[in-house]
Amino acid sequence: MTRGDVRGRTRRLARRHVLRLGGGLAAALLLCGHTPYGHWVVYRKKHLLIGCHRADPETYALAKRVVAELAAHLPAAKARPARAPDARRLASLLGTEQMDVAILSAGDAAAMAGGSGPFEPYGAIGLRLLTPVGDHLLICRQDFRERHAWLVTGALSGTSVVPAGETAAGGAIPWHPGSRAFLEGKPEPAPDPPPDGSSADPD
Amino acid sequence: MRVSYALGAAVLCGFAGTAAADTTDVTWQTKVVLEKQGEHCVDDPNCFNRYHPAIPPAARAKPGDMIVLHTRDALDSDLNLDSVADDLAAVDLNLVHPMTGPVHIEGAERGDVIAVTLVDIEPDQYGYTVIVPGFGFLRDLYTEPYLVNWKQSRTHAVSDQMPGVKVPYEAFMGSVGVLPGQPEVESWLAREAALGAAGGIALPPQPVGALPSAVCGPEGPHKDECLRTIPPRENGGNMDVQQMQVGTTLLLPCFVDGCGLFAGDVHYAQGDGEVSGTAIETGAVVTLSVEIRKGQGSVITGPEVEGGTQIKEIEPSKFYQTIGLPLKAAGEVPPPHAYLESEKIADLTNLSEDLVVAARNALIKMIAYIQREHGLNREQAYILASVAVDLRIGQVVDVPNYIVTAVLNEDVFEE
Repeated sequence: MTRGDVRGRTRRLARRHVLRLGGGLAAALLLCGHTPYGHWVVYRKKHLLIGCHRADPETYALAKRVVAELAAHLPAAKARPARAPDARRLASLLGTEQMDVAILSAGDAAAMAGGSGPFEPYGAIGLRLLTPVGDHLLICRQDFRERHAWLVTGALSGTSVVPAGETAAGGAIPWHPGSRAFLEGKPEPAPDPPPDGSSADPD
Repeated sequence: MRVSYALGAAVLCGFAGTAAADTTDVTWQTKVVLEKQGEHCVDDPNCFNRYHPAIPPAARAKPGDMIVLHTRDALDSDLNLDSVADDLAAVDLNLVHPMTGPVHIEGAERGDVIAVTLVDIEPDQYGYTVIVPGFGFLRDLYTEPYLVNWKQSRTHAVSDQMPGVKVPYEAFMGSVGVLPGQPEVESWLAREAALGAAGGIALPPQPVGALPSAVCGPEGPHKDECLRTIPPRENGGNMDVQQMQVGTTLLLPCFVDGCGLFAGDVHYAQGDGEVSGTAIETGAVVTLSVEIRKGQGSVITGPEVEGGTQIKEIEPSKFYQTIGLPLKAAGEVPPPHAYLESEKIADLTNLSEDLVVAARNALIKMIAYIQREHGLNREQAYILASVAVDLRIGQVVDVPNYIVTAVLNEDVFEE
C-alpha cells in the first residue's frame, strides 16, 4: 500500500467519521456533567483544538495551516486553533486534559515532557509526536486515541505543512503508536468500544 | 508701587521655595492597599479563586479605612487589544474568578453585618466581552467563541469590533463578598451536590488551578471543600448586579470573625441579565469603605443594597423595548428547563408563569431588532445585548403569560 493509497483511504474514512463524531458528541453530552462549562467541554470534544501560543508566533501560523489542511482532508475533526499566551498555559491545559494537541518547538516539547525549566510546576506530561510541522512538532497527550492519531497523521501526510520524508524514526518525543502505525502502512485502528454499551461511537 | 513689586517678588520666592505646599499634602484617610503582584493570580499572595474560611487574610482594615483593591479580570486572562476568538479556546477555566483579598475587618464578628460602600472604580484601559461556548443565556443558539475588545476611559468604551457603538462607563464589582464559615461551606456543598444529583447545574470543588493552593490546591487540606466562584450565594460573590454603582452600599452578613471581605471581576458596563455570559470584563482599582452593623446578621441573611440616585443615573435617555411571552415551539426544551420535568413541557407551546422562556423570547426579539435596525451581525448583537440591554419583569400576574421585556439603551449608538 502506497502513502497515496493510505491518504485516499483516510479521506474516505473521514467522511464516515463525520457520522461517528456525531454519535461521539451525543455521548459527550451525556458524560460532560451538569456544570456551567459542560458545553465548553463538549466544544473541546467537538473540535480538535490545535494549541499554539503567542510567545512563539510561528506556532500560531503553523496551527492555522494545520487547521486548513485538516479542514480539507479530515473535515470531521472540525479543527480550530487555540492560542495560549505562552507554552506554560499549554502545559496546564495539556496536563489537566483540557487540551489534547499542540504545536511546540522541539525544545519546549522536550522540556514539557520532562517537566523541566519553565514547566516544572506542571510536572512531567506524557507527550507523543503526531508529526513534525514546519520546524516544529505537532504533539498530543499520550492518551490521545490511537485511531485519531492515525487519522490526523494521515490527513497531514504529504501536505505542504509537513516536511518531506518524515519517517517513524525515534526522536526526543516518541511517536504516538497510531501515527507510527500510519507511517508504517498499517490499517486504521478500530474505534474504541462505547463506554456504556450503547451504540454510540465514543469518538 | 515699589512696595507692591517687593511684596510680589517675595510671594513668588515663597512659592518657589515651597512648591509642594498645596492641598495634596493634606490627608486624613487611612488607606489599606492591596496591589497586584506578579502577572497572574497564581503569582500573587493577595489573590485567590476559591472560597473557604481557612483562606488567610491578605490585609487588616479598621471600619472607616479606605480599602483599595487592585483587581484582575474574570478570566485572569492574557487577552489584549490584539486578541482574537482563537485565544478563547485556550482559556483555563479552572482559574475563574481571581479575587483580591480577603481583608480582615477589625471588630467584625460572625453574626454581624458589614456595610460596604463603593467609593470609586478606576478601570483598566482594556476590557473584553466574549461568547464562550456552553455559557450564557442563549448557549444553545451561540455555539462558537466570539470576542470583542474594548478601549476604555472614565467616560465610555469603544471597540473596533463594534463600530458605531459607544458604551457609557457604569462600572461595578461583578464579584464582591465575604468568606463563608464552616457551617455554610458544609450546607452549600450539600445542597449543590443534591442539585447536581437531580440533574441541575452544580460545580463541585476543583483543586486543579485552585488558589490559594496551600488551602484549596491538589495537596491542600480543604481541596474537597473549597467553593467555586461562579454561583453567587448568601456571602455575595459573583452577583453581577449593575445597580451596585459607585456610591451604593452593599450589606453582607459575616460568617467568620473579621468577615474576610474580597472583590474582583469588575464590569465596566453590563445590561441586566449579562446575557452572553460576560459583561465588559476588566481589571480595575476598587476603593471601598466599611462600617460594622453589630448583630444585624440575624435579619440581613444575604446581600442587600442601599442606594440613591444611582439607579436613575444608569437609565437610558432613549430606548427600544421588546416584549417576551412564555411561548415556545412544540418539541423544544429550552436549556434552563432541561433538568426538571422536560418530558412534560416538551410538546407544550405555551408555558405557565414562566419567566425564563419569556425572557428568552424578549432577548431573541431584541437581537433581531439590533441586527435589523443597527446593522450588527448576530454575534455583535448578542454581545451588545449583554452590555446594554436590560431584561426586566413586566408583570407576574396575568396568568399564564408572565412578561419579561428587553430594554435596549439606544444612547450607545453614536450619531
